[in-house]
Amino acid sequence: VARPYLAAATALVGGAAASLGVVLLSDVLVTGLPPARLDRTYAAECGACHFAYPPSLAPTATWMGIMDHLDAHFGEDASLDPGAAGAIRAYLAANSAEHVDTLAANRLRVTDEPNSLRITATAAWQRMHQDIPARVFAARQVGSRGACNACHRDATSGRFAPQAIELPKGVS
Amino acid sequence: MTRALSLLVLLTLLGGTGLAAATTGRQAVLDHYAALAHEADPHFAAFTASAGKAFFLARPAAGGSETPSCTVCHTADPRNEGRTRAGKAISPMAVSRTPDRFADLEKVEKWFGRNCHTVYGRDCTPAEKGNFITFMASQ
Repeated sequence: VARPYLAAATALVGGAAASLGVVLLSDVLVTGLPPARLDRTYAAECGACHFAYPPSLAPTATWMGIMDHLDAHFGEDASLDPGAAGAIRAYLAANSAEHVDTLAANRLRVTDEPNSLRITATAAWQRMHQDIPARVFAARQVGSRGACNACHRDATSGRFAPQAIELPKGVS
Repeated sequence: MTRALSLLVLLTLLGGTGLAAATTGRQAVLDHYAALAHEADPHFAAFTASAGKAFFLARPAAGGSETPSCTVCHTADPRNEGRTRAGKAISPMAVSRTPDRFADLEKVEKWFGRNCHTVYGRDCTPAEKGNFITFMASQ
């Protein structure tokens, strides 16, 4: 006997449960992988001026060095109220390169230049980008060396897979 | 048709409400700075767009070496989209282009606090802040 209502109800309940499962599971940490989403405060505050770098792109020492001098942040005053600064510090420390097992995190975990807090100034970053001409970073569609997401389509996720690299249209 | 029309009316009303809220918020911010300006100088009369314009276009070169003026990031025409030094777009400062500008005192104070140091190498006075907003509201 066909029971269309029962079938529809089963599909609806099953579908809802599956959707809920996907949403909940996306926030569960997978060992070695960066969390699926950036912290909201971090993304809003740090992302106001530049690409919000996934915390896994630098070791804790670098992040703490940056947070210690927000009033002189690469030439600008980027001071935060103590509440937001504290929350961001904790988030960075818990999600820095030491906690993640991606290619980018593994390469950038080394603090080879203790005086520089710029990710793009590390020997590892320079080596990985040595074949990219300066004009690419200067292009309007890119904006700066720090605009990871201009070419790395998966930059926000922190994965930086080689196959996800694509220059913006009109840049070569 | 009627449905589309009522949706349009609803959206216009909602948009109007948001705009009115931003205007009220901006006036509250200006009133706040006016009270402080009066406290600092009993002869203070009113903010002027021309003083705000001069302040915006000036080149104090007193803050960071790469940020001698506001226009480095915001361009000389506040109706233009700006660009941070890191390459991120900044929506125009002109209220005609970004209607919800300067409507939230906390946000306004945060950015004056940072950018006055970055460009002017000091805190801005309440009069400077009020003139700046008055100029941007006229653009």
